[in-house]
Amino acid sequence: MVNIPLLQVSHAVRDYKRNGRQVRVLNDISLYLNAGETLGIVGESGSGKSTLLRHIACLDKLNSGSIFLRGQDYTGAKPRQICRDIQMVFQDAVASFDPRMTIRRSLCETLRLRDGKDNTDAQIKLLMSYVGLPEELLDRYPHQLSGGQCQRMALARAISIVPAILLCDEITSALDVSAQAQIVRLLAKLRTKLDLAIIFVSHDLALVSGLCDRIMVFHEGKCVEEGTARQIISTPQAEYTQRLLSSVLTV
Amino acid sequence: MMEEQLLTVNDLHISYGDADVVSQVSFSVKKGEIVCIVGESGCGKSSVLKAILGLPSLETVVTGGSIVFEGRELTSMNTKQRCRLMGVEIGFVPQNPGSSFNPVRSYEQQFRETLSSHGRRFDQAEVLDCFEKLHLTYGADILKSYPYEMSGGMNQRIAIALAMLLRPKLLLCDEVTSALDVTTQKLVVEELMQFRENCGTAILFVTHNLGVAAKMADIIIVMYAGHLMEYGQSKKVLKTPAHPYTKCLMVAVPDFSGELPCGLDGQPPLEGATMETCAFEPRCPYAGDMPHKNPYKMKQVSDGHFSCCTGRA
Repeated sequence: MVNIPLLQVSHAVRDYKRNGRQVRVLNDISLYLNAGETLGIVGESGSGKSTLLRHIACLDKLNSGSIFLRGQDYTGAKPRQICRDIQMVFQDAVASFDPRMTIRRSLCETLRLRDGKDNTDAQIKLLMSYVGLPEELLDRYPHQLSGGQCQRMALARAISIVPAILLCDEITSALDVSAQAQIVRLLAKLRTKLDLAIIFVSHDLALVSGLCDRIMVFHEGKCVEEGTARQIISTPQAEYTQRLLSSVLTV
Repeated sequence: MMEEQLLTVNDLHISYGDADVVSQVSFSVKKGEIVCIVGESGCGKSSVLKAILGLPSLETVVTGGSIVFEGRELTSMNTKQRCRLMGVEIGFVPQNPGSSFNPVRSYEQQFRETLSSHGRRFDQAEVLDCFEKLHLTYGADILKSYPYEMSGGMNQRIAIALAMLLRPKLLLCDEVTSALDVTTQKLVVEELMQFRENCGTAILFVTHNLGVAAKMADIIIVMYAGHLMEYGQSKKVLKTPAHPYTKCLMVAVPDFSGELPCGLDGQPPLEGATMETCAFEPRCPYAGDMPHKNPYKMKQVSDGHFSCCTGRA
């Protein structure tokens, strides 16, 4: 039997216009993601990593190339058609919530979309136990939470749908190192508990290497290197990967 | 020895409304020295910078203590006297330069205005050279651009360039590398160190990342809940950290061990702490049943290395 990956992107190309010039943001990107696997994508700002995630989540349309979920081509689908399988968490957690709604209302709305009914109290309790936050925080507004707390709430919202794939777009970049460590540990815990496949995008190779099974290195819209976390860290081949490795400041 | 001191902060207290956000903070910065203040979000590190700058942001008020810069007491100066010091003697790079530049005026207009108001001449070659060092290519195009056209990281580097052009004696940097990706972060850190070598500028650098502090600092100051926790020469603090909080911050920095970084559970207190009990105790992995006496009294660990706690494990 042929093993069909959970998610497959083949030959994705996307051009943007910047200052009247045509810029190729995704240049023939192909990748696969198996069930329960964590794939890390690293690269500097503007390398196309967030753009790729937006396309996987159907928030944008490719110029050419296809995206498959369990072997089915869903290129060009509407976000609503795939949101039960694919959920995305963004860098700015506060901005990803409706500022006029309490966190409880935002979470209830997602659960109602999933179940079509209002039986949500027990489920919200369960979600809070997953992300390790006290229930008192539910009645606050997004701006009343710290960055780390708000990002945990965003994760709670994403997993409430029980998706197969979680897309994480620089979810720790706006947090201090202590909150960042809390979030990656939480992600590792959720991955085991819910058997999630994760694509984790970050510019920090050290952070990605601790969390991910496989790593892809992006530079100027191209994938310059791909391998297991161990390969990329101990025997980097591409000059750019070596530069990224030497840029990490450790204690 | 005393004439070497550029800035001396003594027993500084800052409050926000009724609550103390910074208490009993004392440290000094020598000429040409890089001092890093490290701590989690909300520990009062940026408030210390704002007090030195004299920016009465929101309701933050200096309620006690002294800040002496080259023998002059800053807290008793009026706004006009302070303005004269800013830029040329004490430079500042804010955390979010996108909002400190005027969004509807070109960088060139803003550079010209800032330099001329400090009696300096706008020399395009010098500006472009400074841009080049910070890997800002197409400098001439940047000068014609507006702040809203630039990414956060580019705005940050342009703000650093402007602060460097004035060649201050002391440069205050508030989380200037936090919004940058790792490659640019390393570049900015190295450029600031080079700037110190070339111009002898002392740098007071606020960051939450001990990895950044390890790279550039001569002296590291660790703050928590508005108090100093540990203070000392960078090598000593990193090699033999005495305070449990410093140890926790060190393991939170990601490395290549293949392990996930460890974050402290819980949140730091939002308001500063009382003097009687240690604010870190609820999160402290070494905390015992016996409460601390005088939790914030600094004890000498070794020569030039002080900590208010040495753990009880």
